[in-house]
Amino acid sequence: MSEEVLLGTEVPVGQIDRELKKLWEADDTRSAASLMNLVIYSETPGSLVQNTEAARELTEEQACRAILVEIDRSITEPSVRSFITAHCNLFGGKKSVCSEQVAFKMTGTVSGRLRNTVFAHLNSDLPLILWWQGEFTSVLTERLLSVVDRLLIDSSEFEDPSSAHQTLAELSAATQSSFVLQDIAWTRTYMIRLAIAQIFDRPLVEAAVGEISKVSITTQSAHKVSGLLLASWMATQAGWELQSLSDECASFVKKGRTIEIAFSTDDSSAPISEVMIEAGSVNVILSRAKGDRFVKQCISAPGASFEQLSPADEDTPSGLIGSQLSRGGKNRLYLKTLPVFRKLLEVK
Amino acid sequence: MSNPFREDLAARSRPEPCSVVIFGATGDLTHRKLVPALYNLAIDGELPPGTQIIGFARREKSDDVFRAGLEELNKKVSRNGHDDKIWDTFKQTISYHQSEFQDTEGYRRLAERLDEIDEKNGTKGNRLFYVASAPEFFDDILLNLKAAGLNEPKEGSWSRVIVEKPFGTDLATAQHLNEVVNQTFDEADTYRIDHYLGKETAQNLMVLRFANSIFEPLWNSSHIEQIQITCAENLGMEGGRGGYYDKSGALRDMVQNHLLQLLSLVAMEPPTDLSADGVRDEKVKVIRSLRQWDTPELVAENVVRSQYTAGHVDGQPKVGYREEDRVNPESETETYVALRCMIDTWRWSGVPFYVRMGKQLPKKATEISVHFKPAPSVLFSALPGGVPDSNVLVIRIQPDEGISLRMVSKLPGTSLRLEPVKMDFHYSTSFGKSSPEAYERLLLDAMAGDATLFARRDEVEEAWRFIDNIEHAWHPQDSSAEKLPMTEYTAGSWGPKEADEMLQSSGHTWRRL
Repeated sequence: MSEEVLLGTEVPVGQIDRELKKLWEADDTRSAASLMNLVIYSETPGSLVQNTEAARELTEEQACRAILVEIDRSITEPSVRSFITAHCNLFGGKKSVCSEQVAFKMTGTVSGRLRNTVFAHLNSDLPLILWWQGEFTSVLTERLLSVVDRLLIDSSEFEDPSSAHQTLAELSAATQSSFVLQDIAWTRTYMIRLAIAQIFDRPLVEAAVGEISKVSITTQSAHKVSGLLLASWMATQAGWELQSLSDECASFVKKGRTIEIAFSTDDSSAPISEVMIEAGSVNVILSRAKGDRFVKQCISAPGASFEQLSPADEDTPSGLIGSQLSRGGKNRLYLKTLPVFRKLLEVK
Repeated sequence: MSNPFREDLAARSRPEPCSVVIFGATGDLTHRKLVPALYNLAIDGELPPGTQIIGFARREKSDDVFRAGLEELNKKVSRNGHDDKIWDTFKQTISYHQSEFQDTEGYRRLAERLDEIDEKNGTKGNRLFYVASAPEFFDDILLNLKAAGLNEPKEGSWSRVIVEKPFGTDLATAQHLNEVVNQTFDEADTYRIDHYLGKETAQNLMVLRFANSIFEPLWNSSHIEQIQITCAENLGMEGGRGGYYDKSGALRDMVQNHLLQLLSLVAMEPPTDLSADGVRDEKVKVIRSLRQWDTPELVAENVVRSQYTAGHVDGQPKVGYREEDRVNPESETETYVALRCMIDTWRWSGVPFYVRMGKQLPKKATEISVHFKPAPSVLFSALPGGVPDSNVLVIRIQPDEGISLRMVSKLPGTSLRLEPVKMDFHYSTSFGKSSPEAYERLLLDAMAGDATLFARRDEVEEAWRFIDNIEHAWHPQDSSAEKLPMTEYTAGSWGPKEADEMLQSSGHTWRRL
């Protein structure tokens, strides 16, 4: 399907609201719903098509006004084209509920125009979620962040995650705004973290937390950052202090006991395909094959062994974002994990 | 040491691994609600690891046959669908224990079995007993649990009981049941389930009232004219339900528990905190403050009972109640009840709470509507058409959970004409994700030791005290006493005219659903 068809009707920027209204007047069997403004920003050519698909997926569970922005800053001549469409889903077999989408295709230097053009079309009073795709550029300013309620990033996309997080920290400090930072690479670890927590809820295993000596984490190479975040979370929660780093290993210490965390990659398997934990006489293996909806938990402890399935995280960014938005929250655990994560980024 | 990986991970108290023993395991509730709820918790990764499910019932069955029966129903009713792979793992946690409810030996064997399960799974001996049997077995089950020592938690673990409704059939039987329960389990370990409280909108009631600043200042007799609580059902006595229902009736089956629980959530004062007793202390004050209709005259004035006669629902012909299967042809059981409740507190002085529940009504709907007093009419009363009805806030409990607010707006045009308009919030529209079933939430709460959404002993008994006065007026001990009339309504209508007249006497009308 061509880009024009997917993006819907092209309308003049000044007519967007009027044309959206017409969209609903034409069909009274559908109702428009919105809980938030979701702005998806990308500087990658062709992203509007891909992000239209992402918006379609997201709006199955998250009614919103989706505003898609694609900017080609290599073309200096400023231009803007806008398109409107709607993503409709049937609820209860009868009610068609639709989310509006406005797509902007822009060229030129845009930092001021992005705010003025795009943000003129927000649904007032609803939270603004900005999904920033790719590397940070000069378009991401403290003024822009000051109106954002939730900023979605994916640390896996950064060429230099350490530097990107430094930029973000500086912008955040300059803004003094209270936006919630949500990292898709972190969300990708949620179900694994839940599974680890559940495993150590077992009375037979709980006592072994203090005996963890080895952890190995296998991820796809594109998701190594998620492995680092998982390790950072374990270290932060268990109170392990980072001692040394090498290319594929981090060494922690707690009360004289050393804990080694090894990182490896396997591109033929799931984004996070295996976590092995050795804790005294307890061994834990969490594994997930590519495409599986569940994580297999294998636990062996003295006199007992267990196998159990638990749900796996979504694989697509839109699926992960949908899950996180459903859970809501301020993402405090992520912020708590960040100091160790920043140190571990040296491994990458 | 505690599990550091659990910290900050979820915004709810942590359910703990336990053995869930279900009494009445071959019944409909177990197959349609309880096991599917546990299965869906497992799918969502919420079920604590190591949780075991033991079905306790009288019929002879193997584990495999029991599991197969559960699987068959789960495929039909599970909220998240049925996944064979997950079920294969999940079913390993299910087993069947055959015993008569009165057989002491069966409980002793159960105790041994639970010890073996703990040994095998390394669980600590937490036990959750779910009494889902017919109510006549409640005493036997509880007393036998005590005799087998299963009510006593082992060191470092807990033993809790969930009791399904009905919690008695009147105050005396409720008190007796509570005595038996409390001889066996501490009140803090007793969870009287009312699945209405597990529904999303019921939980949202407190959020709506206390997390928004715009409602609570108006939530009193200065601004509210009346409140209506409606539970309409478009079904009758299908599936042989008449046998149970004819002994119960609308007042005892629905009003004593579900609807008075909703009323207490609507009318309660802000709790000091969100602890179980913090919330329940405030709820019980509401029930205790209900003005008692304790004479036949007061009951006649404030309560209407009725039975449906033959009619049509959804275009289908329906027989009258007395012609229903397993119903006494001379039955005096009400299938519809409407009450005017008055809450004698400072906040609610003079505000009627109208509560109605009926079978074979035109549609299925449960809702609470808060009718605000009209605005002073000095400005618009002279307009042709006058001022439309006042603001109404509607909280829909089921189906189509949501909240709407009716207000008055000017019709577009050159003249000044006013019409009501509605702002509407639908859960299903705004949140595409389906809400967990009430039983999922409530089972997790019981595993986590959170009794906020369960009824406390005093709530139940105070509710029965109120209901008993009405029942006594309807069924006087003295056979020479004049009986209050049983009115009639046609199946498919919105109830008897007497219920309409009760409201009209105060200048009100039932909200049209």
